[in-house]
Amino acid sequence: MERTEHTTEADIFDLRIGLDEQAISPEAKHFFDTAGYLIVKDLLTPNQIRQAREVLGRLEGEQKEGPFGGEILHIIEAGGVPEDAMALEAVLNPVRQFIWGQQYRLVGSRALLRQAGVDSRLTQGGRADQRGYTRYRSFHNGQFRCLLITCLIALEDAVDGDGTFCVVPSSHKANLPHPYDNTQLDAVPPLIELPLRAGSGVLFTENLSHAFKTPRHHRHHWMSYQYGPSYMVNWPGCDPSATLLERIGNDPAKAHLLLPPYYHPEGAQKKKLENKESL
Amino acid sequence: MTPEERYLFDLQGYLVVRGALPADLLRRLNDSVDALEALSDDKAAALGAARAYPVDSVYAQMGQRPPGKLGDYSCSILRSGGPAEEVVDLPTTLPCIEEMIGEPCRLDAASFMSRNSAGAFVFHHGYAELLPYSEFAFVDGAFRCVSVKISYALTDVGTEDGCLAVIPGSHKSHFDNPLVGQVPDPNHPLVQPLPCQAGDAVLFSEDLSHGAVENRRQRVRRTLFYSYAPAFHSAWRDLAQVAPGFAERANAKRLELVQGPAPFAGADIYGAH
Repeated sequence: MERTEHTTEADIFDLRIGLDEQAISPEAKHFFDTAGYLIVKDLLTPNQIRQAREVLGRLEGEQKEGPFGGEILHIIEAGGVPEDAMALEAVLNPVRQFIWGQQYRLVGSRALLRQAGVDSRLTQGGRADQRGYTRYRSFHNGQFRCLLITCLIALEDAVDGDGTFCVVPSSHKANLPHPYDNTQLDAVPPLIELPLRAGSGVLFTENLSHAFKTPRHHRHHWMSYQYGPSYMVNWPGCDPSATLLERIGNDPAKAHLLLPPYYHPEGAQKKKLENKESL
Repeated sequence: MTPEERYLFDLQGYLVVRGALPADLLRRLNDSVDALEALSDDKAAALGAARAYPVDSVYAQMGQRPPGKLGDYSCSILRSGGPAEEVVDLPTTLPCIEEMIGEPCRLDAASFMSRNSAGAFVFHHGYAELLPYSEFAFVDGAFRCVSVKISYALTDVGTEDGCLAVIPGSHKSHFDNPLVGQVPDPNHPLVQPLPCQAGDAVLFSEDLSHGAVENRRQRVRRTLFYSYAPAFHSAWRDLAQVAPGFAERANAKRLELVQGPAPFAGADIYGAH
């Protein structure tokens, strides 16, 4: 067949997805695609950690039981560090890469309050995971189209088996269900601990099998932010109030995260000016 | 879906359901469109059926407006109530949609489209575009598509009348569609025009390259488009909004499809297929 130059979808339609506005290293992309997570160190200062714990302390009355123990939903509404931590550039930069360019939004936020007791169960992950909204996709040309991605930030040191967050690396590509549903975490061979100092975080696809070890002595606090593509609806209980939207209105990063769900930005899908003559 | 329907949908990315709209419903749908078209733009808008004329559209080639008639337009169709509500959970198509999506789903858009002579719609989409909201997927023996659309013909529409046209198999293509942005040429070896009788439905993955060939005759093409997606998807702008009193009129299934089931429920984080 004769080789000819032709236009592509991106040449014709200006969808304003912003796929060109990403800048993470090839090593980071390779690591995330292979392992299913990225460690993001030193997201919060000691002072911010203290402030975050204070805010969460005031919200304790809203605590409910979640899959990993106590949790408080929609912590950004309380303001302060829990609100600011939804829009950390060190997190949003890879989020843009792994989801869909500029078309990402905050789907939900919560605090996890993990008491000493028992380890959590290991989530399913991989191809066997029934939850379509955790879909993981990457392509040979370096593009990603992940659905739900979580950033988990430790507010206490979680190291050496003391309340540590654990994952099964590469399980987001597992073809089979994991066989460890009734197995103690210590007896799951492919499980690894991701030691995190207070203020550090981990960004992972929700399609990665993950679990928590129990804290040994004291309660551990985590802040969890879940990001998805622009058209994904809010997690139930995580609709931002008018007060919150007004408060963050002048902060472009936060305002972008809290836009109502949309498929294409306002004004997109117009013909690219340079192609008007040729179409 | 029958084994053959599954095979064809996987193979080609679309499925034709002949006679999907019962004759009586088809007649009432056309009557309701006639009634809406008898109204001025302002009055139609007041009923929630504001007409969008595709001026400067990236996708539409404008048809010729017949004297005294409406030009090409589209509008939200559920906001004015009427028989369009019955199409939401049509028993001839909904079971297919539910199997194609493979998890709790919702209606995310419903619109009506009218195309006159010379009107057309350029090719768009295809798997290689990697639009996350349109992915065609088949996982462990089951469809897991995230957007399936239904085109219901309200009028007979042959190839010369500007019917829907697709590139079969493009829902799996890893290469950019060289025909993107072009009006489909029904004679191109990759292009499949899909002529329909009034009442027929074409169900297609949004990842399938699709458009409409040019309407070369004088007959107006009338089409309803209904779009479905997993429950965690939002609606397309106002295109899933309904008329007052819908919740009281609708059966439970219809109401759930429009309001959307719980978006993140139905599967726990520990469960496997």
